[in-house]
Amino acid sequence: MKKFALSFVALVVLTQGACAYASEQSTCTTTDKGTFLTGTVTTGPKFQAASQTIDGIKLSHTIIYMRADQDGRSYQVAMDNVYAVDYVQNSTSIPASLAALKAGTKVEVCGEKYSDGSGIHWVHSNCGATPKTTAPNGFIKQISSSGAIGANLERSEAYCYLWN
Amino acid sequence: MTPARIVCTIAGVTALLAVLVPRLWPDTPPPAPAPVQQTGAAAQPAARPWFAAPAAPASARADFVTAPAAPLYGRNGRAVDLHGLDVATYIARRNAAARTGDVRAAYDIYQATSLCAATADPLPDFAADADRVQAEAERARIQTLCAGVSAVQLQERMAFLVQAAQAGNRDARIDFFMEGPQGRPLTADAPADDPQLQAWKGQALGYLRQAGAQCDHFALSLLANAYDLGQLVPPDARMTMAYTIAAAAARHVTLSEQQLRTRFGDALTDADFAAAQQAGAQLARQDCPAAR
Repeated sequence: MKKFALSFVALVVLTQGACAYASEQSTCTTTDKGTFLTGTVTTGPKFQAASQTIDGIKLSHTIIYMRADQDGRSYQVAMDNVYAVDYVQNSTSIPASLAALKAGTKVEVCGEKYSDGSGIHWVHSNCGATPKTTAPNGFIKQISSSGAIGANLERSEAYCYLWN
Repeated sequence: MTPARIVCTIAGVTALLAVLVPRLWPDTPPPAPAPVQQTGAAAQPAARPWFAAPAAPASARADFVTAPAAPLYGRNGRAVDLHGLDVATYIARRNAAARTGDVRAAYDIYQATSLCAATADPLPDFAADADRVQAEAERARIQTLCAGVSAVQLQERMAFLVQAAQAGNRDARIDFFMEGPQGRPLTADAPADDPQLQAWKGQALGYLRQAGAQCDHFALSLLANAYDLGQLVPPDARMTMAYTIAAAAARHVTLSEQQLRTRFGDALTDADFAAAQQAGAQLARQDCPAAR
């Protein structure tokens, strides 16, 4: 009976987890017009200095690498620091919420793949604009060890004024 | 209940049946495993309408390194013009005025001193060596400019900032929040019951609200983030949505119900969603009467 109960619980958890990912994938690809990947962070966050400045705001990035569950390939993930809810303007440091994505962390991302397929970016809110494949309503979420999916880490819209 | 939740509920019930049925009828074959869904082909963008991260690896980017004379930024992220002086001299020329009530001088001193406040902060891991070299060179340049600034002056900058904020300087009111408690970054592990931290939170919230009441879209967005993260107040999705609406209104942008549902629909009940819409409209009317 104990074995039965355990197998039941495991099955329900697996079903709900798979269901949650399927739902997230559907939201990303259908509604948000992005490319969806899940996987494990292989190289933790590193700071990439801005190559562009708009209205005095330096558009720096945080870079991680992940191995995707979908195809086993390694992808660079470029996260715009200005979309992190705890971003400090022009700071040369990684926002704490993104710094938490250390090697071994499970993540799911929705964004636009690089044209050469080696990475993914635009994993952030698109400021309420109608999503397009070249400007998806992206996200990056941490997946806990229990399978719970966190909030989008790139959801701040405080700097949307730079573009619209 | 959303369609996705209905599907999940059905899946849960199916799972239950899938376990129970073999127990009752042992000859029933086990359910087949669900197929793993594959992502579609990579998007092949033709153009990038907004800014975009480079398709090439970080190491291929040299434009930042070769950029001429980078502007100086204070800890609040604002550009600072020292008019060719070092910080100590810049401060000395404004000290008397600031101490006798010149709010502009007080804010200028704060700005210049804030340049020096982050020089001891650790540098992060950089994605490219060129970025590290650039950051270290920039750090050295600022340390030279800050050579004559004392620890007391660094600490005193917050008093000058408060002087400007109290006098109604909107930028100073926002900067007070950006600086963090006692001019240090606000960390998640700070003891919540620390009276100094509590006092700072109350003051920062008050200043942000005052700046928001002057229809400052950035202050309103920071308030949305503060309610989202629970930085100054307990997390509150309704207030996050209300301030998001107000911040958009301050930029003459009206967020559609669909846009709001996409972002907040899962976090709020229908009643809370309606209340947040109403609160947002009220904040927009109250803070930005001219934006309507």
